[in-house]
Amino acid sequence: MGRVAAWFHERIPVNGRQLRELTNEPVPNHLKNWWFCLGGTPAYLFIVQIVTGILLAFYYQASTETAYDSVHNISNNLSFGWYIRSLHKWAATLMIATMILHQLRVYFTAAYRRPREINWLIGMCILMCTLLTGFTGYSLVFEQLSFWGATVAANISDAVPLIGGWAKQMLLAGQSYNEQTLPRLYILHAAVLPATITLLLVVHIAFIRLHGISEMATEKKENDGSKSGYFNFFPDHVMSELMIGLALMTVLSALATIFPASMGPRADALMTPEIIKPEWFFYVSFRWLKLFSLTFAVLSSGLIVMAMFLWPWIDVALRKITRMEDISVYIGILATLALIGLTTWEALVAH
Amino acid sequence: MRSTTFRAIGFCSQQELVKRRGDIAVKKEYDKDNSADPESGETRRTFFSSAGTVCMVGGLAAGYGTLGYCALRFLMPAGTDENLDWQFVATLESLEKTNSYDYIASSGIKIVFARVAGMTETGFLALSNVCPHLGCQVFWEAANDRFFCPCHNGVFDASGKATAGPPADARQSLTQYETKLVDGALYVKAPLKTVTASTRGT
Repeated sequence: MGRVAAWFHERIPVNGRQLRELTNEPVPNHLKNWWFCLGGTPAYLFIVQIVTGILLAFYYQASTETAYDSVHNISNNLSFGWYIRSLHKWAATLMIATMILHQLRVYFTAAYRRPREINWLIGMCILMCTLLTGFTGYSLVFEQLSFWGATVAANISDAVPLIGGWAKQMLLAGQSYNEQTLPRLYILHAAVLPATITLLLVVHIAFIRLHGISEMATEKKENDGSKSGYFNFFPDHVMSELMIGLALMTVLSALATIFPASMGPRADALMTPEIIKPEWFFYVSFRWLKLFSLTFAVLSSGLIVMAMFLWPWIDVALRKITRMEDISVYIGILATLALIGLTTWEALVAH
Repeated sequence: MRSTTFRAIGFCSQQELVKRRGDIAVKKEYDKDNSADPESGETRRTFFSSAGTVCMVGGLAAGYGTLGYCALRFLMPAGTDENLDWQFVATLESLEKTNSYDYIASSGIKIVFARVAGMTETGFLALSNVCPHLGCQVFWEAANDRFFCPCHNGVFDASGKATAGPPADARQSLTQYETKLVDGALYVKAPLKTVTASTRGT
């Protein structure tokens, strides 16, 4: 046994102590609550997406002629095709949902404040990339929603000042949806965006390690006493994450079985369905576009996203101006209510 | 006998690595100490060193910049000028019994023809079915005497003018195409097939 260990050590010159030091981040006690583990949840679901996505890519054919039939084949003919596709769809839904919950947690506990502003920016980039991956994902089925979703999204980008026209052409590979569009959306969905998210995740986690996990103000007091307010990342926290992973797989499997991913009618460039809606995570912007003129809707959406990116600095300025320590909490509650309100409104009405 | 000079030495211990790092540090220290002599051309050496760095950074930026430019040009589709030209729609005979007629132009867009007067050159209204807001297809609601866009609730009257929803806010109307009658046939001046990336260079 010793000789085997020596053989490996010679080729992989890392010792156990170094490895333990590398992995054993002291984790504050509040992470024993599952709702503080919401950052790890979308990361876990991202791995599910990579695995199921690779499996689906074995059969998916990204061309306007064959895409719809290949998805139909996956869902109806291949062994467990419906299950893999449904897992992919539901993991996407849960990934976006848990990412939003993670962001709300970070926001309301003010974990984005100095010195963690850059990690908030990286988190925002991950959110944007994930939403784009969700959008390009449902564009690949080449059902009616896929076609009209891509058309509407491209025309929205066309309304963006200066770079809009260029962005539209880059997305559609032309002025309108054509035979080059679907391969482009596929490459974005299956290569460019996942690679970008992976890189951003590495940096996101590296920053968490460099700064250490933020403590709650109440814990800081406790930790000044004799009782330790921390526990080990490995194996204690890893076990929590594994349990959450197991629970997620159960929920995912249940959702995939009870509500399997369906398919709408095949894309028809000459007829927009009388009732058409994007996926739930775009309900807010869809309703926003109905409420205001295109120019106002696009510019205001851009400003809101920009404000989200720059929030750590806006927060500092607001606190200074208003002299209210919790001003961001009140704004956050209003914004969350608006988000829920607009999403529910869009979900409840046909038009 | 072949020399073994160019064979890699397989084993490198931790101590060896530490020694190598130490050697580099000593070499750097030596270079620093020996570059301070003004007689040996410090200014000249600093200049060449800076110039070398600039050339290296400039070369890399130019090289990768060119590659980036090529990649962007590669991804950018060919221009898609919308060329309008006269296209045959239908004979007047076939239009006599109908008040509206759907025509698919060679570019793939749907044009709705409505008869607003008699069988004259100005008697037909040719409207694009594409909503000017975000490009969805509008449909005719006979009961409400209007075109309706299901995407963002745009409403247009029978003449194509926006009356409600985001297109009305932006004062947009459905695109109207020119029509003409020649030898008992109706023609429309509509977009020809659009050029896409796939046809570049053909």
